[in-house]
Amino acid sequence: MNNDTSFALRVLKERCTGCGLCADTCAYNAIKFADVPEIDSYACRLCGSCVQACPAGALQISEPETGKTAVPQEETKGIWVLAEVEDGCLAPVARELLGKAVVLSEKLHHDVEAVLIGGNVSACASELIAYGARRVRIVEHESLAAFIEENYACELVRLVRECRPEILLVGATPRGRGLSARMAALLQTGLTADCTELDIDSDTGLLLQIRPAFGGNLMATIKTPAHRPQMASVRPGVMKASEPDYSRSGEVVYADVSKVSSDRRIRLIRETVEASCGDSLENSRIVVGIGRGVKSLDMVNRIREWAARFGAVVAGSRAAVEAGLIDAHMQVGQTGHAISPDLYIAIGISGQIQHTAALAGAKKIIAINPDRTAPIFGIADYGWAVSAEEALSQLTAGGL
Amino acid sequence: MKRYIVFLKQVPRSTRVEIDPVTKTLKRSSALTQTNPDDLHALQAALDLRQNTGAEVVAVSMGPASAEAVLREALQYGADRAVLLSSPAFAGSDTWCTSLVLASAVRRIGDYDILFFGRMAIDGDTAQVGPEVAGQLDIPQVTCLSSIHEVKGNWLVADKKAGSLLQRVEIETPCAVMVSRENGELACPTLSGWRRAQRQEVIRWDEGDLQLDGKVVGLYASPTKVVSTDVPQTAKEIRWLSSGSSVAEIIDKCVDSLS
Repeated sequence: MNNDTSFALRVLKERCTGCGLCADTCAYNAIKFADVPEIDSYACRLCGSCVQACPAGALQISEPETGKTAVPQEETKGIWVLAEVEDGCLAPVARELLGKAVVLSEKLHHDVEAVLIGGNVSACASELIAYGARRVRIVEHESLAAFIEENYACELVRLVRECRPEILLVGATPRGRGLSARMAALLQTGLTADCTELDIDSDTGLLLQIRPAFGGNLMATIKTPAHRPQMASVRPGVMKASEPDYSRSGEVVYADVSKVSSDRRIRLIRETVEASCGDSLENSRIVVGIGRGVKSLDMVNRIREWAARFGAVVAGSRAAVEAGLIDAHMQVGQTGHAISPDLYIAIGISGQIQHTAALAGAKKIIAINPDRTAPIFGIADYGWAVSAEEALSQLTAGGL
Repeated sequence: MKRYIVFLKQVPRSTRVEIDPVTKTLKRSSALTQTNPDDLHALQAALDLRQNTGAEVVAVSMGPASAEAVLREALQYGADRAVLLSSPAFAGSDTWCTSLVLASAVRRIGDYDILFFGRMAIDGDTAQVGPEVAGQLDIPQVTCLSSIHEVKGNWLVADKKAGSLLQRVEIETPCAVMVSRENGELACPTLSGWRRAQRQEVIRWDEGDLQLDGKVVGLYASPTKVVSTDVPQTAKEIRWLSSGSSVAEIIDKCVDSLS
């Protein structure tokens, strides 16, 4: 037990009512409860659950005396979007990030800028301007043709140090995650992974980085007060791209690439691009999702035929994948794809948080499940409380 | 002799938690913990490679005193040494501060060839700490390792996968690799491994041992600050339907608006 008064979590004994909620809430067994809570500072991770649980305000995580007012020394400007290019085409998440960056810029009054990096990427600049970039910075060099994280991080860090953006947004894609983390380490700044929402704090002008925590049961809001740029990676498929406007004008700036060199510690031997099956899912406007309530492959086939009538793609929950009803690459959920269709039709899906977390961007949701208390109805716009079998016979009988 | 360092994190056994509807706080039925699954695969990858190349495998964990359990497990699997990085000064560290502590431990251990990380932890889902340590140490990284092909002197030949992009690279050691559950099967700890682990000590280092100022790590020093946590607002007004024809109507309307 540690009674170190310098530990950030403090107990205000005079406020404690002795209810013990704090000790029940602690996931790390760091609170022993006799009459008042005693904090084991070697076990506590300062997650803050107990502070929120205490109805009397007897637990506080104190702010440091210095540092609270710390602000970055240098002047920073611009909301930057790192625009990922795959196979010569802009990754969809780049358009989504620009859509959000434009919304942020209305509150923060900074220019939206996009950064392109690669061997031959400048053709994408006009598309970025159409989607909202006021300025496109291009880092183009033949030695950047292959995606080598060390080379990309080195050049992007050089550009960030030179131009000092206020905010840097990256897609939380398989490439973006590793690259952005390496960049954050080199830039000595904070990086919030996998955000599902971003906003600007109206008091401080700081970027509010909102992401699921504790398996999606809570949403955490995170700030980067004293380090720049404020970096966040954003989950693909969650934010909405705005309508492109090809009449917009924007500036294209080529970065100085005279110092580009490739890291001698990495040699690319060969590279192949797998045919990506997931794209059709992430870009589909209508998606039918099936879950464990769909009992047989025969039913899946009938759902496929029905969905094809209105051009929908059939995907599934993890339970459906595990039951062998649908391929793993068509899984919607935390460990599969996040999607943002205009219409999502969930058939026989109970709606575990791991599944619904990936539907944050869906415009309308129809849920079909015989159990009226199923969590899927909590996020649905329309509910139909029937079994998948009954639903299917009615839907296919009517013709569409 | 080569030296491989493996990083393991103690995580809650389940991230499936309930929210108390009245107090809006987490209800965790128990505080059971486990070793992060990807990290065990990182350990396995290091032990497999040791069979071919010979090496000392050092297991490292940062966390509360209870995290010694994951290091005991690593010793049972066959790690040669285990180091626990534990101090109240480390509590509340974000990924940047965590990677600073881990990088300092790597420097203290010294003379290493490969750092093995699990790709991501199931309690944080950030997948950031491995690449951030590589960045802090300025060593090359293999994010999303698919397999280690061979070791040729100071070079590692590895396959990596970033989404649809598959690459085979030669990468000079020292380097860092991120391993995931897709990397294969775990062996089981053996009885002899279990016996040996009983006799081994877990070394414990705090900020002083790492020559770190306590003020540069932990909650206060972390660049990112959690300002609030809220229960997601998911309660929508729902309209109940009673027939397939009303579903068809909604679909029709949607198809019309798209065309």
